[in-house]
This record gives sequence, C-alpha cells and structure tokens, in this order.
Amino acid sequence: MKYYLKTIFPLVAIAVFFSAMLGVSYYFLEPIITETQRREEQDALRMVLKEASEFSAVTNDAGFYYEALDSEGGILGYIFREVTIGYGGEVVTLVGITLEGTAEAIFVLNADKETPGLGYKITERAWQNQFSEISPDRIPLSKAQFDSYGFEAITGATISSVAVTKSIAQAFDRFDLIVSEDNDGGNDE
Amino acid sequence: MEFNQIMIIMISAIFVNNFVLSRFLGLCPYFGVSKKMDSAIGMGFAVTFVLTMAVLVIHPVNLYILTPLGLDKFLQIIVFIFVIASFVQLVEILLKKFSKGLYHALGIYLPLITTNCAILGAAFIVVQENMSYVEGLVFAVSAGLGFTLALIMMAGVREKLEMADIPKAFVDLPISFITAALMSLAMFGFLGIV
Amino acid sequence: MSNKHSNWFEFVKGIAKENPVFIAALGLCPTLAVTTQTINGLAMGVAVIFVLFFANMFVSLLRKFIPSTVRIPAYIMIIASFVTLVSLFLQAFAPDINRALGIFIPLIVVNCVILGRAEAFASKNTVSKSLVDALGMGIGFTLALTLIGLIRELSGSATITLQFAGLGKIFNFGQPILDDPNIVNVTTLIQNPAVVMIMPPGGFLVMGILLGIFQNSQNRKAEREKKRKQELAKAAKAKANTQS
Repeated sequence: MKYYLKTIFPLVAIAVFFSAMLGVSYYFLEPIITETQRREEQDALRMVLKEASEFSAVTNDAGFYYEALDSEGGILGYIFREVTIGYGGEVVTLVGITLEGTAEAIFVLNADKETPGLGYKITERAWQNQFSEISPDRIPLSKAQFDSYGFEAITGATISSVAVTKSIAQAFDRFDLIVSEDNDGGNDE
Repeated sequence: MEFNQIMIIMISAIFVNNFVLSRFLGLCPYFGVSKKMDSAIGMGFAVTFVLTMAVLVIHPVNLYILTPLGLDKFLQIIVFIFVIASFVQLVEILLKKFSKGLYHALGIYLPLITTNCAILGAAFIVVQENMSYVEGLVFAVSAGLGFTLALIMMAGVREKLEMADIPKAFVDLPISFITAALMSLAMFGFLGIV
Repeated sequence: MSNKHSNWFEFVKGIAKENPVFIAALGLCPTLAVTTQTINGLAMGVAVIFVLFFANMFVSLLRKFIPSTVRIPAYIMIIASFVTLVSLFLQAFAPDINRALGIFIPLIVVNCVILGRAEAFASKNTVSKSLVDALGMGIGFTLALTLIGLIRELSGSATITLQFAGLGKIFNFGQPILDDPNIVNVTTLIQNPAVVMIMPPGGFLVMGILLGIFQNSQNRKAEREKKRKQELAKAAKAKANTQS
C-alpha cells in the first residue's frame, strides 16, 4: 500500500501544482484573449463597411447579423456572416449591405478548406472587389451566369467562386427580411 | 442518425481526409512500424481501439465536466492526454495477459501509442467540430481504419522495397517518404466526393 | 559520459549532429503539417523551444522526486501544462498564428522531440545542462522547420511569408497580387508555382529528398571513418610485419 502511495503521490502533486499554475495564468490572460477576439471581429467587420464606427450584434427572426452604426448610433447598414459549402468544406463570407440596399463590400473570413492556389484565391481582395455595388437580381450562381452578368469566376475554381456568390444572395434574402419587418421601411431593393 | 450521414463521415475520414496522408497525423508510428505487415496490422487495430475508447470517454468528460465548469479553456490538453495515457496503459496490461504474441510484436511501439498525434488529434477534431457523441464515435472508428489502411499500404510497399535496388542515400526512411508522397497524391482523387 | 561534455557541445549537437528532424526523424507530424508557410514553421519552432526549455527545466528539477514507474505520465503532464501556456499566449497575442497552426498547437504535447529529450536527457542531467540541451534541440528543430517551410512556400505559392501578429510582410515572387497592403510584389520569378508543394504530397516529397541528402552525408562520413580505420589497421599490421 505504501508503495502505491509513494508512486501516486508525486504524480498527483505535479497534477495539482501545474493545474493551479494554469488556472492562475488563465485568470490573467483571459481578459486579453477576449479583447483580442473582439478586436479581430471588429477588424473583419470594418473591412466590409468602412465608415462605421461601431457594430452591434443582433439576433431576431432574420437570424444573427450585425448592425453597422455611425458615431451617433444611426444605422449605416447591415453585415451578414454567411456560411456556404465550397469545394472542400465550409466557406465563411461577410457581406455588407447599406441601408439603401446596395452591396458595399464582401470579405471572405474563412476558406481554409479550399484548394490553395485555386479555390483559396477567393480570399484575394482584388477578386472580391468586383462584387461591390452588385445588384441583387444579377448575382451569378453558375459559370454561365458569371459570363453573362460580366463577372469573373476564379479559373478552374467555379465551385469556390459560386460559394461566395451564394453567400451574397443569402445575405440579400436576409436583408429583405429585415427590411420587410420595418413597418415604415420603404427601402427598395 | 441517418445512414447517409454515417457514410459521409466514414468516407471523409478514411479516404478524403485520411489521417496520415492528408492530415499528417500519426506519422511517427507510420514510418516506424510499417516495415512488416503483421506489426502494421497489429498497430493499426491497437490505434483504432485506443482512438475509439479515447473519444468514448473524452467526449462526455469535455461536455459534462470541463465545459460547464469553464475548465475547458485551460485544462483540456492535460485532461485529454491523461485519459489517453491511461487507456494505453490499460491496453498494455490487457495485451500482456491475453495476447502475449501481439504484446511482444508491438514491443516499444505500444507505449508510444500515447504520443501518437492521431489519437490526441482526433479528440481535438471531435471537440472543435462540435460532433455529437455518435458522430464522434463513428469518426474515431473511421479515422482508425484510415490509419490502418495507410499503414497496410505502406507495409506492402516497403516489404517489396526491401528487395529493390535503391541508392544508398535513399534507403529506408527517405524512400518511404517519397512513397508516401505518391500515395498522398493518389488520395487526391477522392477530393470533392464529400 | 554526459558529464564530460561541455555546455557548448550539448548546445551545438542539437543543431547539426543530432538534429531532431533530419537525423533522428522525430516530431514529424507538425513538421509536415505546419510548413506550408515560412512563418508558420518558424512560429511552431519557437513554440517548441519555449515548451522544451521549461519542460526540460522542470523534469530536471524534479528528477529525484518523480519515481521511475510513473515518469512518463508525469513528464507528459509537465509538457502539457506548458503547451497550454503557449496556446493561451498565442490566443492572446498572435491570433493569426494561432489559427494557422490550428490543432498542431495542442499536439506539441505529443511531439516526440520534447518527450524524447525529457526521457533521454533531462531526467539524467543537471538543470543547466538540460536547458542548454533544450535550446540546442529547439533551435535545430526550428531551423529544420523554417527551411522546409521556405522550400515549400517558395515552390508552392511563390511567396515568403514573414508576417507575425500584424508585423512584417508577405513577399511575393510570382504573379503580382494587387490591392492587399500586406503583400509586397518583389518580382515575378516564378510564373506558375507548383501548388502541389504546399499540399500533403509536396510535404512528403520535400522531406524525403532532404532526408536523402542528410542520409547521404551520414553515409559518406561513415565510409570515411571506416576507411580511416582500415588505413590505421593496415599501417599497424605493416609495422608489425617489418618488425618481426
């Protein structure tokens, strides 16, 4: 019995000591981690609606989205975080739509599962910029539509490209939901 | 849970995202044990067993003990690896009692299963992708099978390579890596299925 | 024997003679997974140095306190604690590296290099020697990973990424990429990079070739040693013949 205690005790002592050390470290690091995460989120949101001074997260019937506010708290537009299926997995895109109903900009948050060098190119800003001011009735959702509507899909990566445009379409659908909920909206698409 | 979903998880873990050839998990034993077919098969099944058992315990521990107490933020790694180390110890004791042959065949590689990144990696993937208990278990079994598949393929090739005339600089490990490169390339054919 | 070697020897051996990646082939999982970008290889290496340093320190400090039968679980727990610390630091101060390294950060726990050094060296040597060993092995590991990352990234995406926590830039040697302030388009050296290099097959291939190169130099060294011994034996025999 004493043998078992002698071997187990150091193990338990080490476990307790190091767990405590970690607990203390976490206590001090946790606020920094939360702040870093918040800042990352804000930076990403700012990529999509530059003039906004702050963002507030909202969840209602139209789902989860962000309201982009100016310095007085007035709504400049909405930002939607859309998840679509690309070639290798999920693609997460932020779509910013102004109050007037025009697409301001998009930003692909996560395309890690797409093929590097091909589908992953949807993360290039230059490619994403072509979708600013896109009209909701002319969103290309197939290779043919890319050609006819005058947009450029990534060569050899149509599926990844369509994943992004699908998220734009989804964002507009949700925008319509929000607008129709405002009784005195009157915003047209 | 639908059969369809199960098939998707299995095909994804065994072929599309093979643990060894796509995710780079489990490489040390992969190159260490794949010289002979019998040890390869034995190791494959041992890993599959420990993997499944590990997820079996880790999933509820994470869900019902760590997360509600907020401990998952900083005790996750320690608890996970502790569970895995305990299971490997258990497997060692069981094998010693019931299958002395396999115990001796695996030799030093048995305790090394603890440091197999495939097991800890699988546990983290299950947790990070928020899989349900059943999904996690299916994933664990499939991941183990994928690992075993890769091991068997490599053992088959390496046994033949022993008789081939390979330049001295590439004998043993380097040529195995190049073989793995070709196998990994072949696995690319499965991309896009799921 | 380990007491006779100087601190400098213990330090340098980790970099060249006993390089953990190229000579001992340890710690392979993160080596291949993380080296899709130069900075990732470098960051993982630095993380490993940190963990190695403190793990070796504590294993050596507690080497008389930990009974031999439970030493492996004890070492693993010590290592796991410092890996958790690294993970927390990265989350707080370098979230993009944290995302890039992904699950391979917690996997540092099972990196055979760290456990290997704890078992083979730190458990049997003084703290100062163990620290030196840790630094040497860690730097050797980091150099190996950075080299592989450099080769793969340059041939696979024609860039060299030296960006960490928002500082530094990405140097592009391929087709110019516009509109991104982080990217510096140097020149177009490589028109069409071989994307396969940053994918798994490329990783295995680069590792196989590098291992072949190192094994070749090991073979040559062994042959020279053998020849030298043969010459000495011949000379001794000739001397013995002339004397008799």
